[in-house]
Amino acid sequence: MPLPTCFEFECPVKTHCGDRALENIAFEMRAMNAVKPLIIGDEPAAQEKRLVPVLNAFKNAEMTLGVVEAIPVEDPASVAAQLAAIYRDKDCDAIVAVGQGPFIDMAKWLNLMVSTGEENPDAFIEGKGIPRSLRPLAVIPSATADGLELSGYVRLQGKTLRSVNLMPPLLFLDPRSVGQPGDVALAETGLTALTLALEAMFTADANPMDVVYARTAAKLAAMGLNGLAGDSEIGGPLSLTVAHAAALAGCTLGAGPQPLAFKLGWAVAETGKISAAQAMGVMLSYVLEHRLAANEMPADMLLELLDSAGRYARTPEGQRGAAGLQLLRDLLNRLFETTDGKIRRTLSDSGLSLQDVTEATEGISAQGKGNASGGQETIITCAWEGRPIR
Amino acid sequence: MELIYSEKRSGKSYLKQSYICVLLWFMGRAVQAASRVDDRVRKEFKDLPENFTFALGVMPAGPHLVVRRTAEGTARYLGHRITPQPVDLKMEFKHLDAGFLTFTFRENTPVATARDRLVVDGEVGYACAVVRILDAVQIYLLPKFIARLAVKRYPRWPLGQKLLHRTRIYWRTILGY
Amino acid sequence: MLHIPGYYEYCCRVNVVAGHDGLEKIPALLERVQAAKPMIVTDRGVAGAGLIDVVTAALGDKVTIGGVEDDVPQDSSLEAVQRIAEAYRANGCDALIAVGGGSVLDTAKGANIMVSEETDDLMAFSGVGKLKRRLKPLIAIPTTAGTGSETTLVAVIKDHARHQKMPFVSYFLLPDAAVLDSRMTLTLPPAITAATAMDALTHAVEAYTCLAKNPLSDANAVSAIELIARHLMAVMQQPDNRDGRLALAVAATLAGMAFSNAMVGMVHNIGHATGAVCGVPHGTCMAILLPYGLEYNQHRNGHLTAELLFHLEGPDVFAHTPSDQRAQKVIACIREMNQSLHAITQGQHARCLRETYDRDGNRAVPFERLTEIAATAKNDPAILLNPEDLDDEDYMMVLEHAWDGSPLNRADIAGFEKKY
Ligand SMILES: [Fe+2]
Repeated sequence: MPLPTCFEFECPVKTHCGDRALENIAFEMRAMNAVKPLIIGDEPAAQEKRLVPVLNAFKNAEMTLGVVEAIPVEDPASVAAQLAAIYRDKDCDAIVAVGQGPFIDMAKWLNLMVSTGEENPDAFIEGKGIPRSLRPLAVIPSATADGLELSGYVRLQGKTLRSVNLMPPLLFLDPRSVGQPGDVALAETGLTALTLALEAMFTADANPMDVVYARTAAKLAAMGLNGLAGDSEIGGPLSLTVAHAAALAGCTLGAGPQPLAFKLGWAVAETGKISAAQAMGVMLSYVLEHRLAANEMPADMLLELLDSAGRYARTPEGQRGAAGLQLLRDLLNRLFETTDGKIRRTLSDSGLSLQDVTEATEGISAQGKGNASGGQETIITCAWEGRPIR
Repeated sequence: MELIYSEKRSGKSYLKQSYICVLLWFMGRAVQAASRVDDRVRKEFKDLPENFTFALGVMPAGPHLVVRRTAEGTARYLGHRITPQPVDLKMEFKHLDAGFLTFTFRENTPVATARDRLVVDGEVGYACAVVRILDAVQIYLLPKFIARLAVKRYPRWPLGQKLLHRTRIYWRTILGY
Repeated sequence: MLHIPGYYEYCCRVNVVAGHDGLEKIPALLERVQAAKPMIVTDRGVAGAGLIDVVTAALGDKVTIGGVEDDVPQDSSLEAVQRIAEAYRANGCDALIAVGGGSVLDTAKGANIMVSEETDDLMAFSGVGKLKRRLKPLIAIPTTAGTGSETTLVAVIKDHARHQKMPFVSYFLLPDAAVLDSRMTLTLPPAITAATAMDALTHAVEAYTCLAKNPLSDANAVSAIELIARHLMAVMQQPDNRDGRLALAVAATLAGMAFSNAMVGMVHNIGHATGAVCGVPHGTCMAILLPYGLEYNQHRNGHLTAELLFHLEGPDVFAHTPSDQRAQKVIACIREMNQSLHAITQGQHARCLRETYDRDGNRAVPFERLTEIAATAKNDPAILLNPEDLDDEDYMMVLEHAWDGSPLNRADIAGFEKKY
């Protein structure tokens, strides 16, 4: 890929990943001058007792911890307001959030509130006025993730705030705190991560620093998905791999515009027939195929990302792009098999008609990031049928 | 919807803490002993500045092992507290568990360093010498199969020398002379 | 292949702005951190090359420059730090722009501590984690594509009066932004371009092959290696190649991100010692020693070195080289790079230690001083994360070969026979 002649990169997230990651929370808090974190967890975290290892990890840290467990996400604005009152009342000075998806949006909003004193999200529309240094926020995600946890996005009651400054400064991935979701949930997290990562890699203006996160997230997602699809060579704890992929994919997105397949996935999910993750997983290869053809960019690197440098090198040059896309589609087909059809190969697998999909995705703009105009219909038709564009 | 707030102290892991306490005491005494018996360790201490004091321990509140290079060029074990004496070089694990992993020989010094488990502060120029001293002492104190885990390259010293030194360091460690 | 260690940490918080007109983004960057009157810190060499004029021209009238301090010494010194802090206060500045290499940036960081903490006692903040809050905005503009110091959270200030080095380590020492602009390296002389690029290559290669590697630092490293492999020779042949210059600057920062997270190994270890004892420039040491480091460690990390062939030479060479010969091929490629750089700089780029000369044209590294280098290297912390240990004999063996320019004899390596 050619180097863009002008770009900007920023990722304020510090990653801690692996064995005893949680034990470092206290150290990082002290380094940021915080002594009394407010530890908050969502309902799934409470059910799976994922807060227990987090609290235990503070042993010998000589700190006082504020704890609020099993927090619902139905009414995030009022929950955040209540938590902000608690935070101030109890003199907390940092936030540790254990959970996933919308709960993390709520935690980021809570942090913005306690850091600035502002209670109205409208004050920050378009990322305006969000200060560079907020209070320390540590995110402890699970392997069930929607990919936006580590991004600079905050979705709150139909509004979206985004800013690099909203990216959580601390990420802790620990085998004890990522949970053990079932294969379908894991595959969905993996597909979301793969979508965000590959979309970031295969854009005309990808810069080598964004590509660092994208590349790593893509390889981790591929590793996790290949493991779920029964690839015997892949060992290790799959939950951690998949959670890792999703977290880094969120870093890749940052506060940038959401990529096409991601947006299409969420739009199709509105029909209620298929999850956003699965829909974007299905559409990913078609979005890439269409974009790469339109921009005359090679899809060759897919082979290296999804398999290995060796596979890339030994495949003849002219065959690499097609082989890469085929590998991506095969991955979905294998997941379809190992999950007894619960992971869809095509949009029609979900029982949606082509018209349903077309209606659901109307108004999604494919602008920016090198998407060709007018290709949406082709992408959707091919993704519905499961037929390569060429 | 009422949220329930609770507050707790971070608690303590007495077992791990006691284990580390005992091991650090033992190593501290062993360093002191080795500085009198073993040529390599003696030479390392000779090369350190007089009164140079280093500490190895666990954040945020210890325990530590504190050793000073005496005027004679040997080592003196100063106990498990970093105060009141000033420390020139401090090597501290970021948390108790990181120390426990290393002191139970599951992560050796290079691996612990690679994994960012340690914070080295002060006269970092002497960190290498201190690591070499600790490595050498571990090789004497520990059975080979454990010591191999603790150091990068297990040395090819003559067996007799090692056995002889090992017994002498053991005795001195326990008796404290 | 993805190598995931049992545990790792990765942090790269510096905001990077890169481009042919990167400097023009500075007013916006300053506005973002609510600063309007920056002080420029640099050294005589940079100012003499006219680079400060380029910076001030790019800033135009959008920013009031609160002063230009252009006499930072080669080694950062306490006096310079104090002088700059005083000027900063006297002129009512609210941000710092450091234009130059490592010592300029370190000096600016030191001055920043003094003005932000409103202290005259710099020593009180020396050590790890003594800084507890954000400092004044600091923008780094590197002028060589090599050191990667714009990505580090360390500063070292020398107190010449007390013969002390004061280290400072804190995330708050990361610059707020690093601006990479092709104009800053366009006039770099060929020999320095070569040496600094080899320094960056060494950062990437050591980060990838030593003990603290992690998946993100690996991705940094391979991107840096690909950029250097693709652009270095083009820039050497055509120094005003703007795209190539930008690529090398980006590669150096990527490599800096890799090594500030994954550290370095014996190449830097011996290189630091050679620099300290004989005054050989850092990049020159790196270029000479890199193949030896890979050769020495090969029984430990040959499989990792082998993977780099794909990024260094591309898929075809990779596919055509049997897997057990790839590591050797990487080492050979780096030696060839040195050879080509030697040729293209008419011998200024040294291939071995005996080819290095000081300012007066004398041999910089007399053979007799190798023992001194070995003794110094033993106490350089960069050795901790090298995959294999070196004892006195090992150091001498490596140094003698590097002096002479002959490849290592693998059978001489003490750790070798025990492992296999
Ligand atoms: Fe270097």
